[in-house]
Formats: sequence, C-alpha cells, structure tokens
Amino acid sequence: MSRLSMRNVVVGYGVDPVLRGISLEVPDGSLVAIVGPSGCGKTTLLRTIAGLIRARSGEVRLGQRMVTTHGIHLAPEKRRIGWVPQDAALFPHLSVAENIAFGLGGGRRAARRAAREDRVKHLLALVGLASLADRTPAQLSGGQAQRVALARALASGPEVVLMDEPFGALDPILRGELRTEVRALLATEGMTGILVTHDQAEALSIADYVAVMRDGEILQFGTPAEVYERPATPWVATFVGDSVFLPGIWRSGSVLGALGSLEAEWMPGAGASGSSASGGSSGAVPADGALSNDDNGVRLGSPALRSEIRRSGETAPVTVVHRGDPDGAQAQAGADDTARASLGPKDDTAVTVLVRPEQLELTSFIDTGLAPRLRATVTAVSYTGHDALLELALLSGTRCTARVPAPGLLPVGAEVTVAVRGRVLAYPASAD
Amino acid sequence: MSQRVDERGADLAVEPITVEPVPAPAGKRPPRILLILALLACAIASIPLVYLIVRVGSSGLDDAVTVLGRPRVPQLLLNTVSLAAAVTVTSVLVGVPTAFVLARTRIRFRAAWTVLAALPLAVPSYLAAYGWLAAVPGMQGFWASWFVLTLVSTPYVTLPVMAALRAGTTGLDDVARTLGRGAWQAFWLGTWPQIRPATLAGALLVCLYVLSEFGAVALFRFPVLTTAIQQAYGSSFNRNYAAILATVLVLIAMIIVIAEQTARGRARRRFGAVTGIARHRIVDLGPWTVPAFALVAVVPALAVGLPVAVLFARLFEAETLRALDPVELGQAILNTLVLSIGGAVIAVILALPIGALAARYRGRLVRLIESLGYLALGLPGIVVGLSLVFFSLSVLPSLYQTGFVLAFAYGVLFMPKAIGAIRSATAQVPTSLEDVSRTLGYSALQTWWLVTARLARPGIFAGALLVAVTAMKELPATLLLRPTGTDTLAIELWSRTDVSAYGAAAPYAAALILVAAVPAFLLSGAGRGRTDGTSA
Amino acid sequence: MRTFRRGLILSAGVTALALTVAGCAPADDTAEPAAPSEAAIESDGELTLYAGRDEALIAPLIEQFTEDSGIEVNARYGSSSELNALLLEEGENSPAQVFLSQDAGALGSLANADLVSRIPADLADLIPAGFTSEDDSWIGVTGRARVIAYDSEKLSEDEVPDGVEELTDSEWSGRVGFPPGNASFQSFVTALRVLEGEEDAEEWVEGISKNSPVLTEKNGATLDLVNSGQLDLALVNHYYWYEDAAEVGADAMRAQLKFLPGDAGGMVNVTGAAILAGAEGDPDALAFVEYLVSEKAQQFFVENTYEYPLLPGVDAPEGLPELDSLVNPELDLSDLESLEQTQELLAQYGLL
Repeated sequence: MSRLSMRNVVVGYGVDPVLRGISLEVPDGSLVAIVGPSGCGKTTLLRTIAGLIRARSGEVRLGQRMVTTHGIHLAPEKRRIGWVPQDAALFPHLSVAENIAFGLGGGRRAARRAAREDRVKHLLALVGLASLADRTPAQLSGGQAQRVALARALASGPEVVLMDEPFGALDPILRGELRTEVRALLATEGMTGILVTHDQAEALSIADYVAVMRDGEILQFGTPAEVYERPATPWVATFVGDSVFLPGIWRSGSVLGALGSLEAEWMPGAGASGSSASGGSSGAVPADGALSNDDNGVRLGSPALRSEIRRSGETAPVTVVHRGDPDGAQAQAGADDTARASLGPKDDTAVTVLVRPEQLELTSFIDTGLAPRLRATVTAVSYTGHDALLELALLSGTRCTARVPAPGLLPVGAEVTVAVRGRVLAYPASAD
Repeated sequence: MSQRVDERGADLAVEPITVEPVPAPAGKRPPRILLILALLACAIASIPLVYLIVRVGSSGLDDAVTVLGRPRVPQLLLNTVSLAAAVTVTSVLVGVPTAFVLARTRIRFRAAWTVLAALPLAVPSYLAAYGWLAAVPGMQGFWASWFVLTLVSTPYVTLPVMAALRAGTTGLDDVARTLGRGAWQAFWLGTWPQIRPATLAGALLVCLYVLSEFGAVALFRFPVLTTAIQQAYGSSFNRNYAAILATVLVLIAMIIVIAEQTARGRARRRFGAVTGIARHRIVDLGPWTVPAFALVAVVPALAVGLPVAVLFARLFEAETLRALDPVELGQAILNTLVLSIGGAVIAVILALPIGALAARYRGRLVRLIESLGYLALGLPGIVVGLSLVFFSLSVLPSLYQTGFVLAFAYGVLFMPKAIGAIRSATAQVPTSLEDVSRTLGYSALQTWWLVTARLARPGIFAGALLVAVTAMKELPATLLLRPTGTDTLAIELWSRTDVSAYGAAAPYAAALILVAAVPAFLLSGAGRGRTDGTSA
Repeated sequence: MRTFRRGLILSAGVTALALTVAGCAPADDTAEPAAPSEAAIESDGELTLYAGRDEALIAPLIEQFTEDSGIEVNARYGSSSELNALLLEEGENSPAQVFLSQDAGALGSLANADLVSRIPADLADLIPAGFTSEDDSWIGVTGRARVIAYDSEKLSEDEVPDGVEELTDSEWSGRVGFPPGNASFQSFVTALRVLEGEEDAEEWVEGISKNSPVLTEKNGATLDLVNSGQLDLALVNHYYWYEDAAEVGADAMRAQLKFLPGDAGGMVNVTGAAILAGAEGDPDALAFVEYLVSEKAQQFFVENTYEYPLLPGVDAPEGLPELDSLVNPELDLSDLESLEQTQELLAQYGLL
C-alpha cells in the first residue's frame, strides 16, 4: 500500500517544464530519498507534493485522498503533511516549545497554552531536546534547530513528512548523526518520509528507496542496492557512486575490453519506452500483471520498471522491446520475480562497460616473463582512512580506478595485476 | 538548489554566499483575495487621478493646447525636472555616506547622531525655506530651492539605507577583496547591491516629493509646475487649466515611478534576498573621525538648527509679540496628533495589500498596482485636496469637512511612503516560514496574519511613522479639507508667516518641530540592534 | 494573548478614528450641505463664513458682530483664491453661507457659476457704483489702492514714476517686482486695458515682461523684498505696507509708498462679500453682510487694516489720498471674461 502516489505530474509552463511527467509510488512507512544534481527539480517535486506549487497536469494521491488532479488542487494547509525545510525555518518570535505547538493549530495564544501539553513534551523528548523547551530559535545550534523543525512537523500527525535537504547546512559528523536519528525516529513513529538531497551517500545510507532525478525526470527508482548495483544509465551510475567506464565489444553475455573478457549484463538504458514529449512516464509505475509477448516481438520496459518488478515480487503488464536486430533478440520473460530478459545487441556491437572500483582486485605483480595484459601501475592514491581509491594505468594505456581496503594500500608506482570480480554492466555505446 | 541559474553580472566573479531561491514561476500566482484588496486600495489611491481625468476631460483639446502652448510652460517643465533630478542626486550623495557612517562605523554618540539624521523629517520645507530666507535674504531661485530641499529630504534616503546596511553583510565585500579588488570596488560589488533597493526607494520618495513640493519653491520664487498650478487655481477661474498642468506633473511622476521599478526589478533578479544572520564589519574611523562628524552634523544643523535659531531670533526682535494663546496652541497640537495618526492608520491599511503583493509576487499587474499607488505622491496637495472635496461631496456628503475626510486625504496622499517600508519588511520575512506555516495547517490569510505581518511589524510601524510625520507638516490639502474651525500646527504656522507675523509664528513652529520630532526619533531606530535579520 | 493584543490595536485604531471624527467635526449641523428651503427662511442663530482674509485681522470684527447680534459665526479662514477654488468645487453642496473675499474676481467667478444669491437692493445701493458689483451679485466692503512701494534708501519720492508707463523704460530694468498671479495685479492690468485701450495695454505688458521684472507669488513677499533692499520698486496694494508698519513701526520701514492718482496703476481694488445661493434669504447671512457695510465695521477696517471704507460718510484713514482722487474707471471689477483675457495676455508674454 503506498502512502503517496504520483502519476504523470507535469510542473512548469512552456516548452521546458521543470517536472516532466513524474510518476512515483511511496510505500507506507518507508523513507524515500530523492537525489539529483542541483536544478534537476527535486525541490519542485517536494513542493508540488506539499501543495506549495500547482501542477500543470497529473495526479497526486496522499493517503486516501486525491490532493492534486485535473481541476483540483488541495491547499497545503489541508494536506496534512509535515515540512522540514533546509534552513529549519523556526519562527523567531516563538520559543522552541511554542514552535512545536504551533503545528497543533490555533495560532500563537493556543500555541502558548499547548506548549505545556504532553504531546509537545513527548515530541521534545523524542528529539532529545526536553531541556530546551523555552529557548528561542536564535539560541539554538543548527542541529538543534533541525530537530525542533522535525518535531514541529510531526506534531500534527501528518500523513507524510517532507524534508528538503534538511541536513545540508550541518557539518559532516553532525549530519551523519542526525540523519541516523531521524531515520530511527521516523521508523519508530511509523511515519512515511520523503527526503530530498543532492548527497548520494546520504540517500543510499538511510533510505529504503531511492529515486534518481535528472532534468525533471526520475531516471531510476529502487532500493539503494538496486540503484547502486544496477544503475539504469551511465549517468545514474556516476551519480550514485564512483564508476569506471571502459569501451568494450559485446559478445553474447560478455564484453571484450581492456580488462579482458568479462561476464556482462546488458542495460539498454532508460527511455526505451518513450520520452516526456509523448507524455510517457518515467520511473516506477504500479505493477500488476505479467510480462507478455506480442506479435512484434518482445518489448522490454525501462529498467526502473524491472527493478520495481523484482523488488515487489509482482509482475507487470509489460511490452518488452529490444533495440537492434529482432533476430538477435532472446527474451526470457516470465511471470516471476526473477524475470530478467537477457537480451543484448548483436555480437561485436560497441558498448560502454561499467565497472565499480570495488570490483577490481589488485595483486602485486610477479614477473613471470610473460606480460599479462592486465598489468598496471598505480599512478595516484586517494586515501580516506578506511579505504583508498587507486588510479591505475594499464599497460595498454587505459586508465581505471580501484578501491582497496586500507590494509591493501599500495604506493604510487607499485606494479599490480588487475582482476575483475563479479559481473559488469554493459550500456549502449551512445548511452548518456 | 535553484531551479533557474541566477543571472550573474558580467563584472561579478563572486558567488553569493546564500541566495534565496527565486520562487519558481510555476504556480506562483498571487492569491485572489490579496489581488482584490490591492486593487481596491489602488482604486482609492487613484481618486485624485480620476478627478484630474474628469476635469481634463471636460475641458477639451482647445484648453489643453492653450495652456500647454504658453511660452512659460517649457521653462516650467525644465525647472521642475531639473530641480527634482538635482535634489535627488544630492540627497543620495549625502544620504548614503551618512547612512554608512551611522551604520557601519564605530562613531561616537551614534544614537544621538542617528536621531539628528532623522530630525529634518520634522521640519516642513516652507519652514526651512523661511528660516534660510531670513538668514540669507538674497536667497532665491534654483540654487536656493535645491539647497533647502536637499536638506529636508536627505533623511528619506538615509533612513532606509541605514536599515539595509544594518541588516546586510560584508561577506561579499571580503570575497571581492580576496579576489584582488580594492576597497571601493569591493563596496561596489558587495555592499552596494544590498543597499541599492533601499537607495532607489528613498530616491523615488525624494523625487516625487520635490515634484509635488510647493512651499519652499514659492518662497524662493522658483517657477515650477506646482507654483503654476497653485496660481492657476488661484487666479484662473477656469479650474481646468490647473488640472491640465497637474496632469503633466502626473505624467512625469509616472515615468519616474516606472523607471524606479525597472531599476529595482533588475537588481532583484541579480541578487535575490540574502538570508541568514547578517554579519558585517564595523569600521574604525581613525583619521576620518572629524570629517565623519562633519558629515553627519551638516544636514541636521542646516535643516533644523538654523531655521529654529532664526525664528527664535525673530521672536525677540518683533515689536508686537502677539499674546500666545495656550489653548489655541494646545488645540492645534491635539488636532495635529489625532489627524496625523488617523492618516497613518488609513495609509497603512491601504498600503498593506499593495506592499504584501509587491514583496512576493512579480508580474505586470503587480507592477501596475504599485505604480498607481505611488502616483499620488507626485501630485501637489491642492489637487489631492480638491479631488477629495469633489469625491466626498459626491459620495458621502455627510462626511464632508469632518476630520475623517482629512485623515483619509493624508492616507491617500502618503500611502506610498508606507508601501516601501511594508514591502521591504515583508520581503525580508523568509518564504520558508510561510511555507512551514501553510503546511502546519494555517490558511494563507492566517499565515499572513500570524507569521508575515507579525514579523514585519517593525517595518509596518516604520511606514506608519513616516506617514504620520509627513502628515503633520502637510498644508495645502489641510487648508482645503479641514473642518471649519479646526487648525493644525502647520496651518497656524502658515497663516502667521503668510502675513509676516513671524514673532507669533515661532511658538507654533517650535511646537510643530517638537511634535514631529517624536516619530522622527522613533524612525531613526536609534539604539536598536537587530540580530535576527527579520525587520526593516 | 493574541485576542488581547488584537483588541488593543483595534481599540486604538477605533479611538483614533473616533477622536478624529468627534474632536474635529465641526459643531452641530454645519457639516451638512445647506438645505436651501428650510434654513433660508428662519434664523438659526448661526452663520458659516468663508473668510478669505487674515484671521488675526478679521477675528475681532467677527467677535464684535457676534456680541452685537447674538449670531454665532463659524469662520473658515484661508486665502481668497483657495477658498474660491473650494467654493467652486463644492458647488451647490457648500456648507458656506457668506464668502468674504479679498478680491472681486473671485466673487465674480462665483456669480458666473450661479452660486450666489442677490444682495437686496437697499443694501447694495449703499455702496457707490464702481466699487461694487453691477448686478448686485456681491457687495463691496473695503478698498485697497494700488501703489508703488519704493526703497526709500535708494530713491526719493520724486524719483519714483507717477504712473506705470515709465516702468517699461530700460532705466528700471530688473528693478521692478510684482506678483503676476495675484488677483489685484490682474485687475490692474484689466484696468489698463480699459483705460488705455488694448493696444497700449499690450505694449505695456510686453515692455514690462522684457524689462527683467522680478516675479513673486504674493504682495506681502514683494513688499518684503523692498524692505530688505533687494528690490527697488514693487507694485502692490497699499494696505500691506500698513500691516507691516504696524508690526515694526512706520519709521523702521525701508519701503515707502507712492500713490498714483489718475493713473491706471493707482486703481482701487475692492474686497467684497457675497451671500451664497444656498443661503438665499437667510437672515443671519444678511445680517452679517449688513454689518460689514455698517459704519461700525467700516470704521473698524479704517482703524485696523488701513483700508478705504466704501460707505460714504466714513473717513478714509489718515494720510491716505482721498478715494475720489484715485481712479476707478467704468470697470466692472468682476468682469470675468475680461479677466481671462488679461490672463491670456500675461501668459502670452511669459508672465503667467
């Protein structure tokens, strides 16, 4: 059961809307992180859910109610949402307790009275600020202010809590602590939360689901693991983690490249089912039904869809289409949760290969007289304490990056042999 | 985080520290009720304009050609525009450095200097002119008018710029310095954009004030449109002539208002509002101490000190010192207070929707509403007065010649002064606070009352004070609209200087300055320090 | 707490407005437009007067009237021209019943707009023709002679011209001042047109405009310039000098007066009173107007304002030339059309 669902929401006017047909399902009680670079529209998305912005078209359902649909725009005050903005936005003329109580309705006088009430005390204790009830916002630190803002948002028992880069203004250690606390708090309260951030590490670490946004579209929606391990496009891959891209040649189920022949999975990329211009949706859509064949061949929907299917265990009415030669298509589509069409392009097609740095295993080079292709030299070291990123230059000239745990640290200039662990991903060479 | 990349000035290679994101155009339409209220306020403010149109309309093209074809008209136009421009420029040139010294330096007796800086607001222009004429009998024409009008209108620039400086940050200056720019350039790049809107707003007020001013230019015998209008009403029994000239004045005012809006709009697009607690460096004066004292002392001394001294000198020199009637004086004081406070209340009520609208929303309609609101400020008081005679007799005759209509006239006349203060105070309330309030269950109207208005209260109050202090000095509309038998301090003063009863005028002049000094003092905000960055 | 604060603000606002309305509203019913029929016939013991004259000068006269007649006077003071503009704007709804004006042109404009009621013949006949209206629409009260005020430190009386003709000579370039917007000046120019003819009058206007005249706003200010030595000759009304002299003493006056008998420049302007249309037949209004032209009031003017009384039999102030010697041509002082033509003439040469 999803607490929030959005269908085809378009926001903005003119040729270039800010949000182009967003569809999203947020399951009840989960924490969804929306990540993307600056300007991708994630804040607009959040504000649209809140009702602070009117959508041009599309539907938003919150809980049992349709809050945005054709002809209907429910005002923000009626939506029962909690809102935590980046700058905490505490009312400077009210005390901490009054700020929290403000959400209980009735204005300032009622807030004063309610400030003493149990609910407020409970919330203050929940965020660990019981002793600061009478302070004014000016006397609080950044982290404390954010906690008060969260408590205030929770005070009225909203359907969903929306957080707009709430930890952005804090220092890293505090940020780490606070987000764990917030995660726990929301879980305790059984509260559904949507968090907007540009920090992918933050998103991956606390969210149940991650939606990756770019230019007003959701490129991928899935669990952090899915998004990280099977990013829909090379761009998503780079956004959520360090990536190594190498050119390669597809050979049914493997790629041939600078790192040798590697077992690979074909990722046709998002957008196979159409662009926003045609009003098609990007992102996850509700799943029920089964993969189906039709006379034109087999169609594969967007990887996001596949992620959805895999996660929920349900199946979707999908038309699976491949790019490229119909003769080369091999579809294995079934009504189970491992439906995975191991399609691919024709052999010898150029592809872009994604290798994660942690997939590269390095062993010290032992000169046996033969020159293995996978010999490399360490050219740079980025040390973070718990691990290090080593830049490598292969004999062939190709450069790549490997992540090694701290004990495996090698100095610049060390000679190593590179091996790839696990399966890599192959994208169309022209993919973005 | 912003949806659109902000325009960067070509010059500026510096990233602003925090910029309030420009609200996304999608869905940012002003709520209907606000628009309706603002339009209503606008309509009321346009009563004088409607009156002018009716009069001009009834006169026909021949009259217009006759009046505008008179040989004197080009001269009048030139005089009017050049005087307005000159006074505006000097007010800015004096006002901004004065504001800087008062807000950003470690000057001794800062609070006292600040009060003094605001004090010229309490002096009517005709009083200052009279004082100077008595001291320097040969004073006349353009230079005299320019000089005295600059003295009395500089506070309109000094006060808002001071407020902006207090709320601003020197962070941008510092960054510019690290990039190799000198101190002046750093100021230009960093601080100037922050105070530019306030400077423009103040300059607009000064410009419109000079356009509509009558007392000083009459005393200095400098022929401008207002003197011609006054003459036309007085000697030409065809009131349409005067209306035609007044329309020319309105057109000039309109051009200026639109120019200021355009300039302000551009500034806003470039820089948005700087949020967060403002920290700025306070500068030590060192060798600049004496010049700084001189700078902050010169305007109050010349605008207030000299006229007061002269009047009191005359007081003791006049042969017949007519007996002062304390009852009359007391009654005049009371009338002045009540009427100006009433006017301030009405002005604020009218200005609130317009200021709230202009603070948050953009668009052509918003700009139009704001412009219309400001136009009345460019009109001579006699026009506004007559328009309200016309209006109240047509609409509500039983209220005619009651104090209410006069207070209403003040409200209409001076509402624009409140608009600026309300607009900037509202704009400084972060929109995120309003968003939060909405999501917490409060409707737009409730949010406005509980959050925005509450936090903008000091600015709203400042707007009211500005209206009150101006209303206290008002003359021509008061002459026309006051209830028979009711006199304000300004009226009493004027009637005495009019017949050269200078000795008898002195107590009234003193009373007027003292009474008006109170709001002027409050406006200066002396001793107020703001750390929450939420008020004007 | 919120309601309390709200209540406080609200009540403050209401109090302010209430005070405004109550404290400043005029007493009783003068705020209402005069209903023509009822108040016209009966005396209600009250009079609303618009007085275009200095309060300090006129107030004692009005007090005296109230004492003598028992009629309360609600007097609104202002300049004649402003009150005239006001009356024209108010039109039929004006609360005023009598208008005392400093110049006849204003009265004429009201007559032209049908806003005055006729002065009863027996009253109107009291004032000789030439000093009052031709159609009984208003009545003359006092007279003011046009004079040349000269700087006695620079000029002797003989050096000052006997008539305005010479003022266009280059010898007087930059040394003559007058208020072109002032009604009495305009009356003088009208008189010039009547006496000398249109052509000569136009010549004079052209001549004076090219002679670098010092243009001012008011008579009083012009006189001040002479008194302070900044101006040599001023074309003003005689009584301003006497006002000033009363304040500082005749000997201390640097400016001295020269009267111009026989010259258009020495004509007599009159102040007058009119009964407004809304007060037609009102005995209070009549009583006041009667009082103005009674001997008592005329004497008051002589003694306090040094103006010429218009009631035959009352002596002119000491030291002033006789009224008869000053010219008052067959000129309808309130001939508006003529006044407008004068204004056009002045405007044509850049004086207006």
